[in-house]
Amino acid sequence: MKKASIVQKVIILAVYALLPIIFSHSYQLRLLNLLIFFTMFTLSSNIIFGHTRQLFLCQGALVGIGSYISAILPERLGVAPWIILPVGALTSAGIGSLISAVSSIRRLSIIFMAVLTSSFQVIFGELILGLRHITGADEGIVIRSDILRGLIGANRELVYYYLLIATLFATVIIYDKIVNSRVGVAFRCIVEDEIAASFIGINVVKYKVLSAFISSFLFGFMGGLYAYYNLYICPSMFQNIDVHILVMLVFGGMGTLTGPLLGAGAFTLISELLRPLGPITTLIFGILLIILFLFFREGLVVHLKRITGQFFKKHKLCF
Amino acid sequence: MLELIIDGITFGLLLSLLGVGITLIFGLGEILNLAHGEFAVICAMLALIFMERGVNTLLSIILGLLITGLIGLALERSLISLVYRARGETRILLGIFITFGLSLAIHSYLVNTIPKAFFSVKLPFEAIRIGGLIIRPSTLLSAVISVLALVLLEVFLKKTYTGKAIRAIAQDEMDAQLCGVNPAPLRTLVFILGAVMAGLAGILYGLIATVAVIIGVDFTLLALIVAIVGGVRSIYGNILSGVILGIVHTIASFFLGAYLSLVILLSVTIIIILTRPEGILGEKG
Repeated sequence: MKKASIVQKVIILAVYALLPIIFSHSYQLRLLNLLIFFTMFTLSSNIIFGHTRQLFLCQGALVGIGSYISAILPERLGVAPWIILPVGALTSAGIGSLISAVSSIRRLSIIFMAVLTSSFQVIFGELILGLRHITGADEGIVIRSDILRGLIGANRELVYYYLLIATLFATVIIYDKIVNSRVGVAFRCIVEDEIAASFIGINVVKYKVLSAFISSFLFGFMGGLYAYYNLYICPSMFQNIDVHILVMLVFGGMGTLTGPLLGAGAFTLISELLRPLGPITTLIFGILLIILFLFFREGLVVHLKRITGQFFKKHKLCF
Repeated sequence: MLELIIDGITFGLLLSLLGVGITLIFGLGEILNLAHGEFAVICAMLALIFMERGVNTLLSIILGLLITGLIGLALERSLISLVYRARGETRILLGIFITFGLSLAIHSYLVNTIPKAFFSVKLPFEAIRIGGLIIRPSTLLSAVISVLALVLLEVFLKKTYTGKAIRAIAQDEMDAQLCGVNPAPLRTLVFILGAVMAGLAGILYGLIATVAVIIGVDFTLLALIVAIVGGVRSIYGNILSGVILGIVHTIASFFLGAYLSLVILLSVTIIIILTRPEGILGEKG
C-alpha cells in the first residue's frame, strides 16, 4: 500500500471515530449507524456493479436473506447469534455467486440479468409473505437474541457504532487490497471489454463469481448485523434497498473507494431532510435516480477531482 | 374448470397487450420499459377520475386512453429520447435505470395521492349461459377487444408503410437507416402505441376485475415474463405465451393461492431464461 493511501485511510478512520464526539445524542448516533450500514451496502454493490458490471437488482433479497436467517435461526436452534451471522452471510454469498455463475456461464446480457435478478427479488418477497408461520409476513419478526447481550449498561448505539466502524474498515482494507492486486486488474479489464479480457487469458467467469461472492457475503453479513442492531425486521425494509443503493453508488461515483463513502453520507443527509415528507420520499428517490443516471453518471468523486484539479492548475500548485 | 380456462385466456390476452408493447419498445430502441405496467394503472385511474366527475363511462375511457397516449408522448420526448443518445450497453443500462426510476416515481405518486382508488366497469348485461357454462359478458367483451386490438396491431405492422418501417428498424437499425427510415419519430410512435395498449389492458382488467393503484408493478412483471417467454419478434409468440401464462396463472392462483402462483411463474421464467436465452425480444444472446 502506498504511503498516501495509508494516510488517507487513517484520516478517514479518525474522522469516523471522532464523529460521536460531535453527534453524541442517541438519535444522532442512530443516524451515524445507519450511515455505516448504507456505506457498507454501497461498498459491496460497488464491488459487483461498479467493478464487474453485473446488474444485480436483487440486493434487497440478498440483504434480506442474511437478515431473516440471523433473525430466525438462533432462537429455533438455540445457538448464539455470533455463529449464525456467518451462516446467513454465506447463504447470501452462495446464492449471489450461483446467480452470477449461472448468468456469466450462459453469457446473459444485461436485459436478462435485470429480469432474472428482479424475478428472484420478487420470489424472495412472495416467499417471505407466503411463509407466514416462519417469517411473520407483514408483521415482521422481533429479535430477542442481541449479540451485545454482555454489554448491557454500556451505550448500545455507541458500542454498535464502533463495531460497525471496525467492520467498515476491515472491509475498506480488504477492498483496497483486492482492487490493487491482480484481481483488481482483472476487474478493470472485464469492465473495459469482456471479450478482450478473455483473450488475454482472464477467466471472466471466475472473477465475476468472485466479485459476486464477496459482495453478496457482505450483503448477507450486514443484513444479519442490521437485524441484531434493529432488533426488528419486516419485509418492507428490503423493498427499496436497491434504489437507495443505486442512488448512493451513482451519486458518489462507481468504481471508486471514496465514492460510496460520500454517496452514503449524502444519502443519509438527504433522506433525513426528506423525512417530514413521509412515504412520498420514494417518489423523490425515483426522480433522483433518473436525474443522476442522465446527468451525473460519473459521480461526485470524478467531478470533485476535476474541480480541485482545475483549481490547483490555476494556482500553479502541484496535485 | 372450463370457466377458469376461459378466464385465463381472457387474462392472458390482456397480458399479451402489455407484452407486445414491451417487445416493440425494446425492439426499436433497446429500452426495456420497466414502467410499462404503470401506464395501465395511469389509464384506469384517469378514466376513474372522469367517471367520478359524471362523464359517460365510454367517453371517460376514451379520454383516459388519449391522455395516457399524451403522457407517453411527453415522457418519450423528454426522458426516453435522452437515453437514445447513448449507444450499446450504456443505452440498455440507462434505459433500465431510467424506466426503473420512472416506475418507482409513478407508483409512489399514485399510492400516496390516491391509495384507495379502485377502477372497475360494470356492464348492464346478465351472464350468458351456454349449456352448463356461465360466461360473464364482461369477460367476453374484454377478450373480444383484446383480440381486436392485437389483430389491428398485426395489420398495422404488416400492411402499412409505417408498420413495415417499424419492423425494419427492429430487425436491423443500421440497414433500415440506410434505406431511408428515420428511427426517431417511429420510436416515439411505438412508445405511444405501447402506452395506449398498456392503458387499454388496464381498462380491460377493470372489466374482469378491479384495478388498484398498487397493481402496476405486477403488470410490469407479468408483461416482462410474456415478452421473454414469447421469445420472438412476431406478435404471435407474445399472444401465445400471454395466453398460456394467463391460463397457468389463473389456475395456479385458484388452487395454490396468489403467492405460490407468482413464485411458480417466476421460477419458470428463470428456467426459460437460463435454458434458451437466444431469442427473446428479437435480441441475440
